[in-house]
Amino acid sequence: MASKRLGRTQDATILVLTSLSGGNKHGYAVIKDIEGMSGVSFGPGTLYAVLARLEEEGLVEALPSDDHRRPYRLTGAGAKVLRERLEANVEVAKIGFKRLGVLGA
Amino acid sequence: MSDERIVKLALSCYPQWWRERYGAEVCVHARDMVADGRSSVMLSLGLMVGAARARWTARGMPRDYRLWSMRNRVSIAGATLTWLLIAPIIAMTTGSQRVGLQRSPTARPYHVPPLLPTAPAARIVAYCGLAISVIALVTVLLLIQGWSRLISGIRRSGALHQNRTLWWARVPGIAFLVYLVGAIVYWTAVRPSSVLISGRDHHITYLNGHPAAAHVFAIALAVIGVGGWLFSIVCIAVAARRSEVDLSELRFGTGLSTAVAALFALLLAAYVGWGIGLTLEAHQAAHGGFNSVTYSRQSLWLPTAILLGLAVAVSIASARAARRSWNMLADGWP
Repeated sequence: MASKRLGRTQDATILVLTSLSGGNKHGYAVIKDIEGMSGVSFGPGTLYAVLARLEEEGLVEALPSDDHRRPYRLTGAGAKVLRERLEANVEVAKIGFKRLGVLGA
Repeated sequence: MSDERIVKLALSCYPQWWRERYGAEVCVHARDMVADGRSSVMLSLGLMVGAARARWTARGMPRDYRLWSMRNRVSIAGATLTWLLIAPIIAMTTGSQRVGLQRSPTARPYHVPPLLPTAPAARIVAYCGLAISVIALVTVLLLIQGWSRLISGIRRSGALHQNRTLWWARVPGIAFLVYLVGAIVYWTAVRPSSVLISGRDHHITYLNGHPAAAHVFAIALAVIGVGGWLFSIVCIAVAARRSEVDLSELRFGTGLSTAVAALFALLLAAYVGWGIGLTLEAHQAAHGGFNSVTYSRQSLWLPTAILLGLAVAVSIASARAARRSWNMLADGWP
């Protein structure tokens, strides 16, 4: 229960960017990938709100497709932003673990 | 209803630009998800929340002048018309003052002094009441100015179908004139000018006018007043959405929406102060054995304050949306 609550509060942007960092994916593939890696279940309403924002900010881009399952790709700017955010999260995680006594001083 | 129809219904809540860009994609994914065992109702609820978010934030909206100017106009309407929607309720609760009608239970009969106007609570009520009147007056003047700029902007634009839009925009003026003429006829010709009370059974005879017609007329006037007010708000919203006005009018409208939202917040503060002052005044009057000034609908102040708070939040959010869309427009267009 606690881990599920924690999962829901995770930043949707990081989850989507992390998913796309593993390769180009269409919307439903992103949803399944996020579910697999974090247990967080997105609906298309949430996913496409995030994708629209990321597209507007130039962090992801849609690739042409023959059918309606259009794949999305992480841009260079998106990779940079993801790296910065993950580094910041790692720092916070390290401090947290240290304070909990999980990691040695 | 089939799963696909439920999803399509939810998708229809999204703005058109969003549906054009993501609609087909989401539809296919939603179908896949339903085939995988996801509930179509839950998916649709999520989509509806997403639709509200897309309408509110406009994130990902294409850089298209027509879309952004419409968003700017609709946001201006949202910031200003919310005020018009709530203003009658404020007027209803703060009006109808009754002095000394509500006697304190501890006050002695035949000699019930009024609460001194210099008492702290009475001063809070008086100053807040004055502030409400001044803020309302300034806001109304600003809104009239905005309305006239909208009409002149539509007239100047000369775009296709602008004549019809102009009529939508004129509706508040027409509704006001109809109400005014009706009120004049009612007060001068229909309503009995006086009554004659005679006999032991206090028989009432109406003098002049037409009592039965006056009764019907009064109901009709109330319907015209309330209906005209609400219809005017809808018509201005439609006109704002359809009009194609210049950038100068949009800049004025954006500034106006910010000013109205700020005045709206001040009105909320004054209204809350007024309500708290009245409560304090009632306590002081009961404690000291005084009569207090009351308002016939003052018991409604708390629910009205909550409603007003929500309306202020909508107005401020709309003014911010108007500012953001104006910044997009002011950046210049390719």
